[in-house]
Amino acid sequence: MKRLWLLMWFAGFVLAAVGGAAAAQEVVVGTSVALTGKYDRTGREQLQGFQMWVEEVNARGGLLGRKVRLVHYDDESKPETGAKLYEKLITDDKVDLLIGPYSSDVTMAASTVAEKHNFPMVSSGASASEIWERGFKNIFGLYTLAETYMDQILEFGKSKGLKKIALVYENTAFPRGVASGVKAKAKSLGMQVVYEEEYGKASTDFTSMIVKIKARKPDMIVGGSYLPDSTAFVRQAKENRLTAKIFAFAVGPGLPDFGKNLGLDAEGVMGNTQWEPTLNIPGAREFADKYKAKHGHEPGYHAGGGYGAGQVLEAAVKKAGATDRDKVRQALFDLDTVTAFGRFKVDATGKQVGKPGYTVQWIDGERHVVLPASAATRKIVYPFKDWAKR
Amino acid sequence: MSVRQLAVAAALVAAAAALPLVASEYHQSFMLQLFMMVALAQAWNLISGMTGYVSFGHAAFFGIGAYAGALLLQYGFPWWLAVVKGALIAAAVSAPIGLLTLRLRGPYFAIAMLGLNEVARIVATLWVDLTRGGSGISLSPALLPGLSVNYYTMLLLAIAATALVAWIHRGRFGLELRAIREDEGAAEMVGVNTVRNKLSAFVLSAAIPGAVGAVFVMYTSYLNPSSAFAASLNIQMIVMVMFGGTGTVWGPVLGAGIVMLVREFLWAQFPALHLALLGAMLLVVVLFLPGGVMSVFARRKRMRPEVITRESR
Repeated sequence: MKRLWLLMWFAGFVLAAVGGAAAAQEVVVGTSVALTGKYDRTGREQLQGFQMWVEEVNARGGLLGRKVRLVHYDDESKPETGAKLYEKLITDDKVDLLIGPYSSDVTMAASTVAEKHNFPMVSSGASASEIWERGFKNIFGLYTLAETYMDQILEFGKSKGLKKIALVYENTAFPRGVASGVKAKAKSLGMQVVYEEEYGKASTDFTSMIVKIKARKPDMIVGGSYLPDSTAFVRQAKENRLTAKIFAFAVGPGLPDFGKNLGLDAEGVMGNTQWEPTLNIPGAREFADKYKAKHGHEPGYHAGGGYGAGQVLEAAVKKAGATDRDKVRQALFDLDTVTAFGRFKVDATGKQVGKPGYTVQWIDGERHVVLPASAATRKIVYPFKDWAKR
Repeated sequence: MSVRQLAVAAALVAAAAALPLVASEYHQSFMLQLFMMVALAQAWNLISGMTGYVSFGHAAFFGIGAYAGALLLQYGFPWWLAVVKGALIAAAVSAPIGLLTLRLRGPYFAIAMLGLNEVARIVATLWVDLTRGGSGISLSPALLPGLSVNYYTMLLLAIAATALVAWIHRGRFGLELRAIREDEGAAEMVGVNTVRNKLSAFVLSAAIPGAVGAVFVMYTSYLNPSSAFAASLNIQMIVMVMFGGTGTVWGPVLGAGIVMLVREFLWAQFPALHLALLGAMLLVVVLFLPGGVMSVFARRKRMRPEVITRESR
């Protein structure tokens, strides 16, 4: 028995020594993403995109000649769990670099922890502008802001002489950001929001709202939405024969399920995307092909963002020549680079200003980029076809 | 409390107080969460363990305290005042609610409390001017005290909650509460003021989560309606108390300690399964040790007619 204890002690020391030696040659990158809870699917895609970068960077010889090791946890889609996990990543796992979680609300919590430790964090899964309005110095975004999501569509509407907008949105952080952006943009374009209504999370009955909207005869219907609510709204708009020249929704139309669930009714509906594999960005197609070969489906922008976040970190560490927090932070502020996810350039608050957003439209059963014209894969279809003539 | 129990308590407190000198920040923040659960479990034990009025909505008071704390910190109040007011506001809210709901018996009270937590969450979501709704409140690090302040405050709350339960448990108030649990009608017949007793226990058991919520928000720095009024928190309080031993002084401490430690070891290995494994553990305890882990110790104690000596005093 005594000998066994001795042996175990010895083994423990050897392991500790080996572990210590290995750690010195590694760059440890930490992140938490939702693997359970309501952001499960999008969080998983983001992680898969990020893992692909880790494999590739190691195949290239690592960062600064050191191997990259990923430590990740499941934040259960909850801000409070995210806060605890980033505390753990920084103080217990003692990671060298940080990648942000998925969703704006978990990022709100996680970025406060990073700020407290003065630890720079590259965020690939958050777009609510409030995150960058708190005077923090350590949160660097990849996503175009929620407030700008509808800008291109509104400008397009203006060019067609449209004036009246009906605006509906869910009452959580991201959709409210989309809505405040629409209101500001409409004002600057001299357009008028003739109807506005906020609805509760998980609402799927919009009939009474649609009846009220009909009375105002808007030219455009704009929704700050996710997938289930935008799908339900379009279905009920058809049932109630709500007509307008443009129908545009956040998040929903950017996902394959939107076309799958609505079929012909999805035709002509516009939406937004942060990134598409078809964009003319160096590396985008290659990443999409490799991702598809590995996971069996085309990557959406969540996977693209995870991969891009890795590339941004890589560029920043190379520029800094070290993983030192202060040097990496400065490098992230100075960086102006193009990853497979698009251009990365932040302002003095760390918010993304280099990457444009894109507008998609459902045409002939497929999702196509239609705006800006330089990135378009199809010409925009206008006006929105009558429900009966499809 | 016997001399031996006092000695154990003193040793535990001394160890917890000395821990920040040696432990890493991560271990400190784990212990902070443990203290939080001890305090919350004791609060639940105070109303549900002692009187038998099972509350499925105690997270409501936690959330109210958390929101009160977050807002007061933002208005520039010092952190200790935010904690004290968090407790007072939760207690103030609980009094009228207790007056209404404590008339309900059995499952009706449990369901009313479950509803209270849901209503509180909806109010926090819709009252955008005050709570910023679903966007949540993010506190600037400059407003927040350091980890050691949060650590000792949470430790103090855990000790205070346990001491309160111990004190009530050995006194006349505790006896009356347990009389209500065993047979409320009979207790009333022999002259126990059931309304006053139940209400006092309820208000005390709401003040503790109120204070805990305020410290919690100082620790996580971000609060939204779903994290303040989390249904999972209700379940955790109940599970920990049942695990350790309902209506006892040490049960909630033991239950919170065991459950938190087991979770800590399980969640990294089995992200999706760890709650299911905890559920299985709880089933085993409920089936084979209905009195919780404490009943293993209590078996010896039953030989000593403590209650009778106390009565004759």
